Amino acid sequence: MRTVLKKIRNKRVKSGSKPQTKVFICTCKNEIILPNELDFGEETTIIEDINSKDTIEKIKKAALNSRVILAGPSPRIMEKHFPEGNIEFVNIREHVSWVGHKPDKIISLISGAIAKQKNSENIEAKKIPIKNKSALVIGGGIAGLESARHIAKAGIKVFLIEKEPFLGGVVGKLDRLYPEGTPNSHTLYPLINEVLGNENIKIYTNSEIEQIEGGLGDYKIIIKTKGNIIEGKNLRKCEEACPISVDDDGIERKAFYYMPTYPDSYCIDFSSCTKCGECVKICPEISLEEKTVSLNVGAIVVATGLKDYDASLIKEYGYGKYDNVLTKLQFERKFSSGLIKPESVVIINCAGQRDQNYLPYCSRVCCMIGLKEAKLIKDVSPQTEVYVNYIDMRSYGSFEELYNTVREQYGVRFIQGRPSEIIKDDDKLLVRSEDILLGKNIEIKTDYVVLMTGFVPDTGLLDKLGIPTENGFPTEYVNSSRSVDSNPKSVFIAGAAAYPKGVSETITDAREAAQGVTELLIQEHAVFKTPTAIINSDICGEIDCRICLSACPYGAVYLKDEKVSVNPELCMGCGICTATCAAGANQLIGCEDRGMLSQITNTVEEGDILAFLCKWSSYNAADKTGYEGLSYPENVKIIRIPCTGRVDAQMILKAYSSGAKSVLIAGCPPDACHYFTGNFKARKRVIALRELIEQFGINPKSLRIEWIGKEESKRFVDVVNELNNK
Amino acid sequence: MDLRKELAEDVDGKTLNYCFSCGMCTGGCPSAMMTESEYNPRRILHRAVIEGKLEDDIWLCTNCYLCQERCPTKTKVADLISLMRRVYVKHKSIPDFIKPLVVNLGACGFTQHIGELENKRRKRMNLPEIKHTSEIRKILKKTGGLYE
Repeated sequence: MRTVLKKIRNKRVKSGSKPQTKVFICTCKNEIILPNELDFGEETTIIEDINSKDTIEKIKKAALNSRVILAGPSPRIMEKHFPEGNIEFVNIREHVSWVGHKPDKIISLISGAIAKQKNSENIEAKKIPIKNKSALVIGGGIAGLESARHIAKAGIKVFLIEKEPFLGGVVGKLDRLYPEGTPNSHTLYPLINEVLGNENIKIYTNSEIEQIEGGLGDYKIIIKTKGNIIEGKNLRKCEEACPISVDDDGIERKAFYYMPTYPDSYCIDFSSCTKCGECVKICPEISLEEKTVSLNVGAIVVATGLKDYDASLIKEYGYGKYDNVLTKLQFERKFSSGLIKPESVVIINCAGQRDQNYLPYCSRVCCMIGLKEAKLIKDVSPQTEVYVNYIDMRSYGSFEELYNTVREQYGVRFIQGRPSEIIKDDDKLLVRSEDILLGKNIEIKTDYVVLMTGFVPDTGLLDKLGIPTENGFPTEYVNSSRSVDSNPKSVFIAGAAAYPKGVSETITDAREAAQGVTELLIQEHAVFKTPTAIINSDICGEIDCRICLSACPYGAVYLKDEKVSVNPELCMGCGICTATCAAGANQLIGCEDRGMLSQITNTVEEGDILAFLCKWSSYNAADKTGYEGLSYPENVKIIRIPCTGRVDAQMILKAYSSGAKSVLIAGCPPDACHYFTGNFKARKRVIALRELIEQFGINPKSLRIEWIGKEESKRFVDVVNELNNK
Repeated sequence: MDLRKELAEDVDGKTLNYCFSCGMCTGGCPSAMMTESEYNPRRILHRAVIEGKLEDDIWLCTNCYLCQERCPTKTKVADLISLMRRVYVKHKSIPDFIKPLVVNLGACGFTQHIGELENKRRKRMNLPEIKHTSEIRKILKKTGGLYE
């Protein structure tokens, strides 16, 4: 079988009529010793210093009408000079010179790169026009308001949508904000005033998104709105007449009500209104009609915030059964309005959270909210006994100070142990828990129990926008430098819609989102330089397996008129889909099957170890061996790939048939793949392939997949040495 | 003997490391309440994780499974304690204070004699009446579980 594979090796891929190829070799001020003979049959220029401006300009010019290969330092350094991405880099400094390898190795590396360039499509940046220089902000809470304010300040038109009748969101309902317990009016009122004062912001309250169409720079949004301000006189009398009573997180109000934010008018809460018409009898101008408004925007900020987890699902705590078991928001509103005056309160942290039966995650902010409520109680009524039941106190960073204050100065008692049950005991509640530090069961008699239930996202919107979610929150965007970025790149997620956040973090986030929107919309075109996958629909149509649809971590590969297509706005250029395509119809530009295979044939020599290294981690580890002065066997040849998920069976078999004795595939540590799961997909592929190559008479142990992080140069050396000694 | 290794041989035993010591098992445990926390499932699990040790307190569990129902990490608390008993018997023997229960089991099929009171209570809760049985005695005889 080995001989058969060798025959395949000799069938080198012929290049078509392509533009001229130019090779530039940098000696890094004579640091890199070049081999005596350098003849690739292409125009070759030797340069001394790649960092000089003239040289960079010269290479850039050459790249305009010919395919350029640049041998020199690592692409890690070179990419900053050539962001266009249409240059093939060969690392002859870190991977040859600095690891003490013979100059002859340079020849095979460069020939490989030339073969790849000749068989690859030219990478071209994608330009998407920004048609609508306006933004949509969904959510009128603190995140939405802050984002809208900053985008509008940059001169961009903003549409702010809020589904409730009033602006302010959850913060609008609170009394205080942690850590200091500042009343929310310090933050919210000036913010609303600024938003109202800006002419660039158009507010739609009582409105919801009906439909979202289009993409970056050209969204068509249809909203349903019931209007902001109710026209008419005697609105206070309408409130009196309204027969519907609503429990608004602890406060009783009518469906016809007032809130001190915006609009400064009585409004109807349409989610509880039964359209009985009592208010219309008093004020006939009131319209209950719904309008449809169409908006054209270029970018979207999702600031839909969060809501409380339904506490009645947590059976042990009797919420809904016992009147005095309240959620955090209910308690805060009732207590600060003076509706309740408890002598003792038990605050239960992590109620139904970090719990596989209810909410599996930690909502991050509840420990601080619990401390805030404890402080609120003690500020108002120092004689009230306050207990906090906790599993772990997660008062990170400077919030430890709040924990200390509440414990040391206010005498709040902390019990480690999550209560198991709450039972009624006369007119009091009995909270049963273990005090873990005492190792004893304890029962606390109390007037009120406050459940620190978790937060869940307040949206079904992310699905409409095509954003993948986990537990309802958007999947964390691993390869982002900003926490608010998402994919599609024209959607920004601000504040607690991303995950539960405190107010100060939400504000920081909102500003980041605003900056992202502004940065995008001030351009004429959005330019994306990352190469993307393309589909050859002729080949694809014949096979029609649609496997690549499920392989894409971003949902970028989709069906358009029953044809597999790639959305360039979503594609991140990982190549995972390309690797799954057995027909060769799906090709990642700059990393096509043809290019990769010819690079492998031309790079590999008999007895080599071919290492496919992921550019995000393992490739950098190999670079590190260079500047650390480590060394590894000469016969290790390295090919840089976007993700281990790009390496397919063809490429591995090609390496063996070209004479490689071992193949190493190395990428990011588990769970840390830049493209979510590329490394796991590669591992599965390698495991399956080991069985196959055994049939060809190749030792399956010579094919290895490893996680090698950026700093793990010594591990890289160990792994290749092991492979070499086998 | 390392309890951790013995437990890891069983599927349910592998859940030992799930526990994050929140105390929800002990807080509502009827045995813990009756024994002034001398029986403490959280402590038993934690001891197993940290020290790999077994103590006599595992025999105080009534197998009501309340801990396992409530456990937020889906640790199989009650199953783990049953497994620990199995390990205990494998290495030592059934402790003396359990013997009366086994005798009862052989005699009537239950660890406690079922009287009128129990069945009255069951009737109130719409549960079927239970009767003494001698089948368990046969099993115990055949498996050698009965005391001589």
